Amino acid sequence: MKIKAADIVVIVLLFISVFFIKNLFTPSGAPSLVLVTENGEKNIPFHNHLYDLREETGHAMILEVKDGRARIKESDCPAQICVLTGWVSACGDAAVCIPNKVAVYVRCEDDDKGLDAISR
Amino acid sequence: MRKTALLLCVVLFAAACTDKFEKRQFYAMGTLVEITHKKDAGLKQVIRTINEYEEQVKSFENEYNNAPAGSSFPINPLWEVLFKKSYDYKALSKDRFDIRAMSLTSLYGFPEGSFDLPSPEKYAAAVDAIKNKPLLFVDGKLVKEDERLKISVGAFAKGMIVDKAVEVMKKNGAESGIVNAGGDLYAFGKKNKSRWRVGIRHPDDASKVISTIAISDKAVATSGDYERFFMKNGIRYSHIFDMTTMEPASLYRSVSVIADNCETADGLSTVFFLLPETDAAEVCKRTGTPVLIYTHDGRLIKLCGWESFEN
Amino acid sequence: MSDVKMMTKDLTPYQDRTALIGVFTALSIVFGIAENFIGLPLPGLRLGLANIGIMLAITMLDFKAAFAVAFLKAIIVPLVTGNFIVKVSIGLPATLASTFLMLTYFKLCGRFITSVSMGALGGLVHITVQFFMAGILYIQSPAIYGLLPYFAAVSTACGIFTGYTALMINGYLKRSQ
Repeated sequence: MKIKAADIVVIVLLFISVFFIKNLFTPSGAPSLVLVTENGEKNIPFHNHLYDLREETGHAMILEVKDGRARIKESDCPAQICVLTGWVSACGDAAVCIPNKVAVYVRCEDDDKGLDAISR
Repeated sequence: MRKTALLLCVVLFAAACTDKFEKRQFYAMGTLVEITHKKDAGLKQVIRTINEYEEQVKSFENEYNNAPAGSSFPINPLWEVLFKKSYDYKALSKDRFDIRAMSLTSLYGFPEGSFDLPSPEKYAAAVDAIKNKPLLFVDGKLVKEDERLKISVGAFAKGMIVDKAVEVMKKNGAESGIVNAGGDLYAFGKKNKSRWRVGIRHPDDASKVISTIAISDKAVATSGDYERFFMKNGIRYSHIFDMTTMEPASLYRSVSVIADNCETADGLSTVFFLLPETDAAEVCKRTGTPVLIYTHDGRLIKLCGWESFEN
Repeated sequence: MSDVKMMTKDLTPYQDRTALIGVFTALSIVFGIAENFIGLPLPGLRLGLANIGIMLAITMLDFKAAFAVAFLKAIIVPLVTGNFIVKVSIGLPATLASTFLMLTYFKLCGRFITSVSMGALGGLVHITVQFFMAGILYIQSPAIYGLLPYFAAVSTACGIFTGYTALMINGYLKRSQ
């Protein structure tokens, strides 16, 4: 019993699809930037700004908002996944730090009607 | 069996690769701008264009609004157009719309706040200036005749800048996309071979829509009393004022307009917000723009073929 | 697959099939409990060793057998390891969905592939459905989907590992016939 060529092809395709899976779950619509901490959720304006999250989260973390994008610039968590995630800007994008229980994500209005835009 | 499997794979990957659009958000023109685009629509250039035009509009407004009486201002080509448009809208609205409304609305704190009612003296002074001091142009220059005069082209400049942004996207080779500046949007081209689907927000519930339209190469803009307003003594003061009554317009909750460009949609949504129903029905025939009105009692009035864009 | 035919031909029906279901279920449950002690770089993620029993049922037995193993494993492992309601509500749909897709995949493409890519597929589907269930039942914040790509990648890699293990066991069983 040996691995077959088709196996390799399928595995490669599966790994590629990893990047698109998220899109299955993420709605689109008017976006807002949300900071999630243990204390709950907080909306953050898209204005360019550096936020020191020490008070909010009890951890040495820095959130940067710039040009309509946001990222965790620095964090004291071991794996640094949230920092490595880099910029988040599209609907459903999120930088999550599980050990510190902190997440920054772009929430969009539920888009079950399949709308491309909202006029308001 | 082999064919089935192959087909399945092809279908799955075709589904993953259909028109994929990205959304980019940023803050400009005092609102959240969202651009729906395919990769490489030259977004940096688009954003720079938006910022440049915004600066041109704002700097002139600020200079004029803060200047003492007697100052004169050269008019650049952009502002020449803006002034011309403003008189079109003024005429269409039967003098209810006027860019000098800012003289009055700024006393209430619009557009950014903090909001409060002006003193009767200030109110009377602003009303007097608006009634008796039209904009004065001397030798192609705008002359500020009265210190109390302030102008704002916010009612349609945003739409015009959206149009400029779309131009840049098209120049960069974009065939389809949406530029949405806080609800004033232009949707061009198509998505997956069908028109773009745009919802009109319910005034009382951001998660609901009152109408869904399908558009391509068209603009939609909405004016309402629910985004920029403040409450005082149980009265709602929204940012659009009627220059014949000198009070906030309170005919409707929201008005949406479909037009061929966003500047027109933006400007006309304000104009129709100020017009009584019978006038609106007559004016939209002249401008050839479908209109959707949401009234205080929750009634939907569809004029000039709005229905034909639904579904 | 020719070896499947060989196996089932040599075995007398019913009893041996039932016995194999029992063996595979037991295998899944033991692995399922054991892997609770194996840590992975991402919190909460498991190797998916329990999937080996399900894959063997798919490759060597049939549709009903695979679902029997999957269902029993998804119920019994949480029963032993605790936190039953949460684990079953998230794990059962995930296990059933991945079993269903692995079965379909094997039925459609069984001639060209082995359990290695099937395991990878199962791992990917399993973690995705887990996220989905956790998302609607417990966390209710789309933020968790931001983590999905990392988990999905590791889970797919684990699936390759377990798929390869299943392939080895399959080969061993075939040789020992």
